[in-house]
Amino acid sequence: MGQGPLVSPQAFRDDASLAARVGRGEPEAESELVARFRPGLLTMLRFRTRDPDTAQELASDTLMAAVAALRSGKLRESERLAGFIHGIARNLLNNFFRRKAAVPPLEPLDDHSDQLQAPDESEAEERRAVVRRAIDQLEELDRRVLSLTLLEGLKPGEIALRIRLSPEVVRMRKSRALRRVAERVQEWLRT
Amino acid sequence: MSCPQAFENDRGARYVGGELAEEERDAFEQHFLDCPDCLAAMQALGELPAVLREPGVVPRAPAARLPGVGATWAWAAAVLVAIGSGFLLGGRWAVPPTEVMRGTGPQPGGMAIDAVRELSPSTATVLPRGVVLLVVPVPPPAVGGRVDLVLHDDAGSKALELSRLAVDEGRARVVVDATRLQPGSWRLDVQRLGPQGRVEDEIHFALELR
Repeated sequence: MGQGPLVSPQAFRDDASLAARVGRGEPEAESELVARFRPGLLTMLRFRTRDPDTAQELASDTLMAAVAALRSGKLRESERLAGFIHGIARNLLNNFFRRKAAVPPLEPLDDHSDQLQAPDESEAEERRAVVRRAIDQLEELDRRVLSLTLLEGLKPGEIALRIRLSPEVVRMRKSRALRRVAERVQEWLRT
Repeated sequence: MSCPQAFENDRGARYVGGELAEEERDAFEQHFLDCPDCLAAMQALGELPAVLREPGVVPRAPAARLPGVGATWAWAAAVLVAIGSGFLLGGRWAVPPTEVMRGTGPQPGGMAIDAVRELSPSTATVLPRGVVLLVVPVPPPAVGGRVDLVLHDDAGSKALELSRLAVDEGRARVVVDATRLQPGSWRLDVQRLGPQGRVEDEIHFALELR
């Protein structure tokens, strides 16, 4: 993202404060860390792995590794927590994909079971309703392209062979369909 | 909703479609990890797979064909179906065996294959811990019959649902997520069943998971 939002000095101070509290082993700070980053990690990891169970495991592993690293004082002064945690998640993802099982020994988190439960189902259903309405307005072929992309992980060239279109047309249909769904989501979030 | 990052330049849509360059993808992920507005957008877009799996949302592809009838890479979508749906449990059929290799339940997300192993009935095949594509020689089915594949632990007391299966020219291709198996000895049974469902032929393949 070329020009991201400016990060205020206060944001760095807040991150440093939370990191320091986690580093001191304060249970409330660990809970705060988990509550703040777990939803985003789950979302990211579900996109990356296409598997909710694996995403859950990797998100937990990431947070445990983050807590362990913060206790060792590994957050640099100039580093944002989001970047720090993203780096850990990315490493674990790479390990997952390479299957080298090189995850370092991790300390167990204190009981965060209240935060580790499935997200609020009614919220998820509301989101699904928005997406469903958006998908309803797509052509059948576009839905098929999305399905082959997102459920089967196929590339445009592979989809093109299946549905007998050119890869360029598949790419165009995929982009257009996703853009339309995103527009619907944006409208919903504005309301 | 005040942060525009998820919608600028179709960023969120391109992220979902895997179209962002690595640098932009990583930067965007870092951003939405800690941005409630963009996270809300991405959580909504993250429901796309669940909605696409709902019945009737996506037009069905032509039905997959069973072995021996000239199928070409008949990806029997999620034949033994996604984790947790439990076609096979505790060594017994959770549904009548006729459903095996024919199911059309919820499809698992695309799986990255870590390794490919071709099985032989004469030697035990060592499986790495990962997602493994097994290539399994299968006998041609009898007229009106079929071929079933079942994965057991070495005591024969536990069967595992297999997430994907395809058949082509006498070989079944099965995707097994070996990270979900306990290390030890496993056995893949291939059964040829006649039209009445009677086992006419059976081949066992030994698997070792370390």
